[in-house]
Amino acid sequence: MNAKWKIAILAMLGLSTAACCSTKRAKKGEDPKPTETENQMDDPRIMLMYGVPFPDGEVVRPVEEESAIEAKEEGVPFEDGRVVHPISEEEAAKLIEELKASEKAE
Amino acid sequence: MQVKGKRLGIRKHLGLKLFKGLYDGVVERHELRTLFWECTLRCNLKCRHCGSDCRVDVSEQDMPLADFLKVLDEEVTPNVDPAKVLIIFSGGEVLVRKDLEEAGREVTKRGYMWGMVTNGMGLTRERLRSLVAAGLRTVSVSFDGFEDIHNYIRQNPSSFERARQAIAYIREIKGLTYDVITCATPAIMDRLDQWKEFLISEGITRWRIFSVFPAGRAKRDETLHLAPEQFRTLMEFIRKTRKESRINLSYACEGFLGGYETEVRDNFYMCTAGITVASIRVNGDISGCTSVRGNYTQGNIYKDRFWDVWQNRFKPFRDREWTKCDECADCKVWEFCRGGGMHLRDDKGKLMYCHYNMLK
Repeated sequence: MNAKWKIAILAMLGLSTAACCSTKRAKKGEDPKPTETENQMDDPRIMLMYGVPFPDGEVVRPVEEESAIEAKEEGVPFEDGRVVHPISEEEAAKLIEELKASEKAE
Repeated sequence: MQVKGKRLGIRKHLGLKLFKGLYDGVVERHELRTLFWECTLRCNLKCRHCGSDCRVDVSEQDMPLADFLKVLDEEVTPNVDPAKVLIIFSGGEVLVRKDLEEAGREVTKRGYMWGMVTNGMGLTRERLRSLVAAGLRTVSVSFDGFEDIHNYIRQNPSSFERARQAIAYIREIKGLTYDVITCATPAIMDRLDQWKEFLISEGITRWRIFSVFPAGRAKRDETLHLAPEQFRTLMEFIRKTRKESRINLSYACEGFLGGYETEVRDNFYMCTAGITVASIRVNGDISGCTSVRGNYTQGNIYKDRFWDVWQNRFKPFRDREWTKCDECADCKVWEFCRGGGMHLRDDKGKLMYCHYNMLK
């Protein structure tokens, strides 16, 4: 009996997760179809005696850095209370044109 | 309803029979998935339950980073997909090494994930952030119980507070995988529920419990060993807590647990030492888990080629027929247990502790 059959029977017994270690699960709104690599049986990741949990696969980032990124999207606060918002490339081009026009006029 | 201790039941028995075949496949493939680097034996604590192999001289110098990287570059990386291999820095206490960040950066540069186990004593917010910047992906912190219990075991009056603070710093890092590890001793048994509530109130989401096995310093200290009825209570506690789903709790990989298989851990029991797990010890010895006794060493990086050792030795790890002796000789669950964890075998190969027999 090959591994796939064994997993299938274990699934029927409600024990498949105990025998294989596919940590990838479809999140809400995601396509639940497994990819080719997800279909392959992976060796179980056992939590070892002096080991560490297997990384969850997220990007590791200090919390402050995270909030700094959000702040940039909302605008960067200055000490005098001004908040400077980043502008798009189109807005920047428009601004340059306006500056050039005002320079010519002067 | 309580699990009937040792009794497996038809469903689990059938499941284990099928899993046995899958386990054989894992043994046959013996793909390296976890590599411990015992980078130091130095430690800033002297814990009562330390299972360190006392045959190893603690005055042993730290292994130079360059020696470990040489093994990675010449032996490991050409033969594995680094993205699939987790490197665990272990000790001693890893934070005593000043070049841990450099080690982390080098390992990350080669495409490996890495993690570490710490007692938290030396973990400041700044140190943690520099480790995260060096690619730290996962960390475990020892947290053995309320202040009196933790400090007793760790033999240091500030160890509880330092561990608690370290966990708080870790929780500040988004995406950093972590868990806390509690060594269950008789002292915590009456307060397990309060301890659980404390951990939840601290915002901890992942928790692992292990119990002491008679090796290293713990061998002679009776205050650390659970009686069979306490062990059974512990299993029931873990089972109940997992059903509540308020905190992700599991029992460590230690031994086969009869009727508690899949009830207290996510997976069926299997000891992966030497099968998917290797370690490079501080003196260059090549073995399975770092918790396995010194005389199961399979080679040494200063004398042998690591990959050759990994591929061609490790026979006592991959073929465990030799464990079928003494109390295991006629055991009806040997086919599922295969003699228990390799770390539970003493220098002569005798089983020091049987988890299954504790479930009377």
